[in-house]
Amino acid sequence: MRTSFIFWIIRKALRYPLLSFTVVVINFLIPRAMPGDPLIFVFGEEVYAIALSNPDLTNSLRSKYGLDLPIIDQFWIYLRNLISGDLGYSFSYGRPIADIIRERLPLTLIMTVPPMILSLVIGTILGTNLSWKPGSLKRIITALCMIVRSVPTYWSGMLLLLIFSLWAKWTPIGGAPPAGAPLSEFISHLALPALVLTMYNLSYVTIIVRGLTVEISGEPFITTGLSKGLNWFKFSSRYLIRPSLPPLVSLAAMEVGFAFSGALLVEIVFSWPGMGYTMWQAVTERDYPLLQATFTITALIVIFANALADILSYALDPRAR
Amino acid sequence: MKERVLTIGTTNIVKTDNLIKDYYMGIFAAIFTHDPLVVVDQGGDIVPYLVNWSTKDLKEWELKLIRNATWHDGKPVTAEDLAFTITYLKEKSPSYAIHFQFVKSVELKDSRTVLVKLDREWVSFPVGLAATRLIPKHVWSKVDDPMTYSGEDRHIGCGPFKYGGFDPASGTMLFVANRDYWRGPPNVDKVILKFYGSTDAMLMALKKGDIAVTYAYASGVDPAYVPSLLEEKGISFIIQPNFGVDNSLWFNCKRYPYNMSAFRRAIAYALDYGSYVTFIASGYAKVPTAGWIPDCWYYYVKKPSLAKNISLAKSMLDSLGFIDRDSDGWRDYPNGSAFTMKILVRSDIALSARLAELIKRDLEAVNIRTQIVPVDLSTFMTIVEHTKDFDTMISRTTFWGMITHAGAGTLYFDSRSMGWANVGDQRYHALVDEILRTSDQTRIRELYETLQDLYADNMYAIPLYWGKIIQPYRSDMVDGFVYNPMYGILGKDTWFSVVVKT
Repeated sequence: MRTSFIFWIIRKALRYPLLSFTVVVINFLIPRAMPGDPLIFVFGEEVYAIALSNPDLTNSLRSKYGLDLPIIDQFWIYLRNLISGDLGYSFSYGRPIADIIRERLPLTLIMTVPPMILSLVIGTILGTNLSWKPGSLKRIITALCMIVRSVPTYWSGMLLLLIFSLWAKWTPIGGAPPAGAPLSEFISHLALPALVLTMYNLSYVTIIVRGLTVEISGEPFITTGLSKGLNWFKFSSRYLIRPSLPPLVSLAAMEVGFAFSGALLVEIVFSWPGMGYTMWQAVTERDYPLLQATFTITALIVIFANALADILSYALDPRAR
Repeated sequence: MKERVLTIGTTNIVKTDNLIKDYYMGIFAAIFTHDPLVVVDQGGDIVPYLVNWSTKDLKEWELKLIRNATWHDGKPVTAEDLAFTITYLKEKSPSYAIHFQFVKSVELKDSRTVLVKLDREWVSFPVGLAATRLIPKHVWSKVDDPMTYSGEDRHIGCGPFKYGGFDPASGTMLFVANRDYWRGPPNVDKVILKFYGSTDAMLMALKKGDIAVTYAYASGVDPAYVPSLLEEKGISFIIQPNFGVDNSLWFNCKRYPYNMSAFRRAIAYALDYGSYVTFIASGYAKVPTAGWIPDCWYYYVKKPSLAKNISLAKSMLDSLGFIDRDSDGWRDYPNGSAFTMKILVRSDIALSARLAELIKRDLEAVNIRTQIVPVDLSTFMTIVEHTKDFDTMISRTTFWGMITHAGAGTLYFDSRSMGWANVGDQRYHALVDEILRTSDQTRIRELYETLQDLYADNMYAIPLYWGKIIQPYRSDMVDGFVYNPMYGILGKDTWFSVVVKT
């Protein structure tokens, strides 16, 4: 097993750098393939068109930002800087991108990781319960999960703002807590965006786990488990959850991707200046270096999560070997 | 005495607190920390503020400091600062390089006077001064790249407020009253600016009382929000005429068939202006006239109101050869090929998308196949201002845009300038050039009147409605705003009349 595991690791270890390089190339090309001019936001909306009548000025700015270089030269500069850990300089922020990411990434992680963990834990327990001896209440919960999953997060976010912020006045309307805020203020700011993400992820995990456990409920090992007369906790954890773990691990890896991309709209609704919000601004303003950096970091985190999921699945599922 | 704090919500998000680098930081600096050289009064005229100006030939402009202003660090504002501001910003800031593109030299005449020489006659030179925030020479002269400068002294200005800090995480920016301001201390001790990612969230904050007033540069709120705000106790509105044209249908006047004024006029007859006033502006607007210039401008000339006349629109299109040749229900080009009119709209403005749908409805009623092309802001601007690869598009104009170039909206029409309408007509260009060379205000007014004749006769752009600026605020928390066409309710005069209710 150990030899096959080592070969397996080597195969994966070769695949992921190749995948990462592909991501880096795509993240470089896509922003440049988009229509739109990064100089619009360098000049400001109202001055851009007039500036176009002054080619000396626009050319000098394009040169300053390296936009006049052949695309292949731009790519090598980008790659060389990336390898040396230099993420570049943002056109729109006028600051090193590493500084911006250092500010924004923790905010996204704070908002997305707790809902991700909560939804995986609760969703697994709930999904397993729903699959076993379904009753009318369980059917209602399943239907509720379907509804919650179908509702876009920006809509549910606005609804929760209306109820808890405007009417009940329990939470602030938006924004992350200021630096050094007390725990209570921190929680009040985080509560609603985290609740939206938890509900959205939880409904998905619940539906998937329910499907997985229903699929195995007719298997002979389930009958064996039942015949042992175990209590529900022991039975469900050993005979229902354990066989579902490998696909659940893959699901968790996919959730990491959602944590960044799906949280974008939640960050906008709650004026939460995280990575999604920054990506959105970078796309709007065609801030190529910032776009490349945010997309690449997000993609690398997702690749890393998938690599981890592969290893865990290998360890958990004998069939994968 | 209790501290008077005014909390303002805005969707104009500052990314970095450098007034030269960040567009919206520049706007807020002009409102709070930095004084512009000249300002716009309530009637839309440019009037002296820190400096007065005079010119004999529109090429040499004498700027004289007329206030005893001091910088936030206590040093006096001098003519050296004034000369430095113009030369430094022209050299270091891309947008100011455009404002001052015709500046040839700046000379210090005496301790309070500066002589600016231009390389051509330029009647709109004071417009650039209205957009210029005076900066201190003793701070910026040592800064080679102002776009990346992060020194603490970058916020030193001579405006009514001192900079108090920016917290990007919580989306708040603080300003504190400058007790030594040359007009006296402002009526507010502190201003907290709160940034919101969406208008919906900002208006919820207003309803809740988290903020006392909302702010959006050169605009108010979308009229669609007004009914829900009217239900709230404590919320009042300042409703002002919009000096910009709220929305127009712009033709690419260099592209067939939009280069034919008869075709453009036919389109104008197809549109139902009353429905735009009702459904898009919620009644806070009026049907425009063919002269395009809104009736709040001093040089406005009354022209016939635009009105829908479907039968006339159809007969004009018929006579131009745009008839249905293949009996599919849609008009074709005179050569028989299928005709589709494309309307470019910004996808980030919901109101534009709604308006485009109504225009499509109206055009389809005269059998013109219509396609709405929604694109994001960056793509929109690249197409409209750079590649010019569009048929028609919907956009609003701002007060600042209306007074730039030769004024009267020429910036938006003249193909040699921003030229959304791409007007290359010799007569139009000659008229604009004459305005730029004219210093006599009576003559300028006459020329503006002629310009409106051209707008009405040629319909380079069809004004869809003349809207109003709708500015909601909590009258139970604050009152006494003075409206200004350029900076809305946050013009300089507001700080000496506003009353924060504690």
